[in-house]
Amino acid sequence: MRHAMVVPDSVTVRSAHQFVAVLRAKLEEDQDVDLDLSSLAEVDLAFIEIIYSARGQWARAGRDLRLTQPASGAVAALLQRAGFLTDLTPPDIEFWFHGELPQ
Amino acid sequence: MSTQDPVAAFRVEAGELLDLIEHGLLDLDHRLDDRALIDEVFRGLHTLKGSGAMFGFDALANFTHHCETAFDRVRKGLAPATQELVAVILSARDHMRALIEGDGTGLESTGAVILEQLQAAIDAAGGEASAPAASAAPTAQPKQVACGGWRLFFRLPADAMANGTNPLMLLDELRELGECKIVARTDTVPPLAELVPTECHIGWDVELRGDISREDIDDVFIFVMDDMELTVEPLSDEGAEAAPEIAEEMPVVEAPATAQDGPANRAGANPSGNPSAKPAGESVRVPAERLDELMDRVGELVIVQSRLSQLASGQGSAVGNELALRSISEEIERLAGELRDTMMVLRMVPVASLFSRFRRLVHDLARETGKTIELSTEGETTEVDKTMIERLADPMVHLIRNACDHGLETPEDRLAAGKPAAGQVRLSAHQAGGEVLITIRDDGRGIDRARVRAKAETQGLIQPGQQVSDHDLLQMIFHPGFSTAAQVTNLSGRGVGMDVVKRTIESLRGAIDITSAPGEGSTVVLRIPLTLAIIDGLLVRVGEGRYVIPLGAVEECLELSLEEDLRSRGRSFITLRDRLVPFLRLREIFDTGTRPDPHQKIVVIATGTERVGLVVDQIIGSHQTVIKSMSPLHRDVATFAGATILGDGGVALILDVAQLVMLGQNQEERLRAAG
Repeated sequence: MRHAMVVPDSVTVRSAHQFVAVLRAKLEEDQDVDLDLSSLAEVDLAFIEIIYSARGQWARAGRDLRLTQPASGAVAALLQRAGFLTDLTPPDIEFWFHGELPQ
Repeated sequence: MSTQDPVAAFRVEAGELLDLIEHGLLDLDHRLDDRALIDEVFRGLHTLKGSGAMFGFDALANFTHHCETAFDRVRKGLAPATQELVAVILSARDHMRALIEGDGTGLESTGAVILEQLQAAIDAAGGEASAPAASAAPTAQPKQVACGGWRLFFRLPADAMANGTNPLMLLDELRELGECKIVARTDTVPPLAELVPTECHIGWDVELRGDISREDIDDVFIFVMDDMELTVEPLSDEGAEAAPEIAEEMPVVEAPATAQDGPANRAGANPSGNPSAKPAGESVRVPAERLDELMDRVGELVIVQSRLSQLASGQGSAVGNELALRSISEEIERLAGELRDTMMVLRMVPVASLFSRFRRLVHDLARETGKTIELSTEGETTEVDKTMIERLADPMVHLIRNACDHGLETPEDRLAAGKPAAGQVRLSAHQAGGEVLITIRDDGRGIDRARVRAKAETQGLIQPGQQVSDHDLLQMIFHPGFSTAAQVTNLSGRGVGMDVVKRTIESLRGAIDITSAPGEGSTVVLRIPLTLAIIDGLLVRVGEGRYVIPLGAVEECLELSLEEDLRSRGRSFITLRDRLVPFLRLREIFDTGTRPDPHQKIVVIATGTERVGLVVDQIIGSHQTVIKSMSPLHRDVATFAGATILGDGGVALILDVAQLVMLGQNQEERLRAAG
């Protein structure tokens, strides 16, 4: 069974602890999770790092972590600015953009 | 650093940053063209601004931004560093501390005044764009430019983001240098269970193409260069085989042991003027190996406790149990001693943390008095109990202030007296037995005996024409309200201070001594115990009472036979290695009303070079002494420094070694005077 989780409107280094705590709780519940980023407006590198960390952990647990929609807006801009879109691997393209790089 | 209260942690770290900024500024004041110092101060201001904004200290961030901008001009060679600029930034640094300690309310006007002074200092220096900084050492070398560009890899220190560094800004700055390909690396990001979300584990591979110098790249990372991982190599084909230009992971340098208050300015020891401000040094950094050692001892204690529990459960034979109990008792005694020693060491901090505060004080005093003052220090690694360090700060401020204001002459007077124009103030520390001696020495005019005498006569402390020894005359300055300063200045001369200094030092079970030579300067020596809590003592019996002599002061023990005692009566001296040493019969001083033991002992104690023997009836043995202070009723009783509770529940008084030595010396002087 998949579980949808709405990411709050702000995940930055200041508020990252709460987001990590929620993700860890989901991991404990051993669930596949769909992250809904539609509300997320304020974001910094702490968020990207958490997501990379969580993806590894979910994969090791044999579970699936996905985005409900391809990354866009603030998240896509952040990925671009921080150099995550250069030499993007297929699994990264799949995770962030559901297989299609933004033009 | 606690993640539970990030604001409190920020305050501690900001305090350390402010200290670094202050030290950098004070060094810069002497070496205005030192590029490394300029960068250091700039980095400090930048980090403070960034982390201040991150933790909601907006007033601090805004204020610091102006100082950072001013220093950026210096760094870029648009304005030279001047002593005026350094002085203004030092004031600004005090203001920043006030903004950190409070919420900024009521400080706006002070901040505005400092910013006006800052603008004036920058305007005054602005025209001379030659910029010593620009021509200073690092840029004196020819610029290194790679033909095709550079390949670099960098990873920031883990706490960079928490400290206000935004990696995205660094990437943007790299992009501004030229054509740039940036690839983020996430291979060292830990799994979610171990992730500290405020830490940055992402690394970046960057290819930079264009006419870019190595200095341009270093400039991007100037704020974080000390702690980050950075590899830079030329991109060009011919450079492809070259070893990386820099492959460094700089060790994290531990900050000073305590987050201290800044050196006192003329308002006192607290530059913010906020009496409720948190006292300095509430936290102390302890090397991990010392904590490991403590943990080992605690582990052993738990094992012994478990053995004791087994024994208490009543298994085994009576004889076996008795042996086991004795063994456990010995083990606990050993562990208690080791725990005490380990714990004492945890509390010890080098006096460097104390001495470093006075650099700013001397800098400010020099500006205030128009004198040239050089401060030198020695023995900064000497360690003293942390509490002692804190309580010594104020008395030392008074003493240094006196030395600078009263002791040192103006440059003109010094030159006229054949001395160098710059006055010297020297602070030194060294350990002697169970004491630390802290010396404050100046090479000024010395104490004017005639004025001290005149003042003492005016105050009725001595009669006109009364014979007073030089030592006693100098002691007059410790009387309340005593000041020989002809002019009351902002700095000193209000007759407040030396009596308070003496009282404070004595409350620490210490002593203060002053010597002075006309025209050559004065020396104040503070003798303070290493710790305030526990000492190794020598337990002795005098009459029916038991007393503790601090073991650190004990030099040797001798037998005093009844015959020798009778023979020496009236003299009270023994010859020790061709030197006469006075001795005191404690039985008589304490009026025990008992007969002397046939096998009396003399315990020879010393402070500095002075020695005195104490005649006791019996030496019982060494004793770990937990010092309890005397009750208010008995606090003024000289000869005793405190009391302790013995294993059998009895009380033993702890002898005040300094007082007894003084008593012995007085006795010696009296006898000598009597011929």
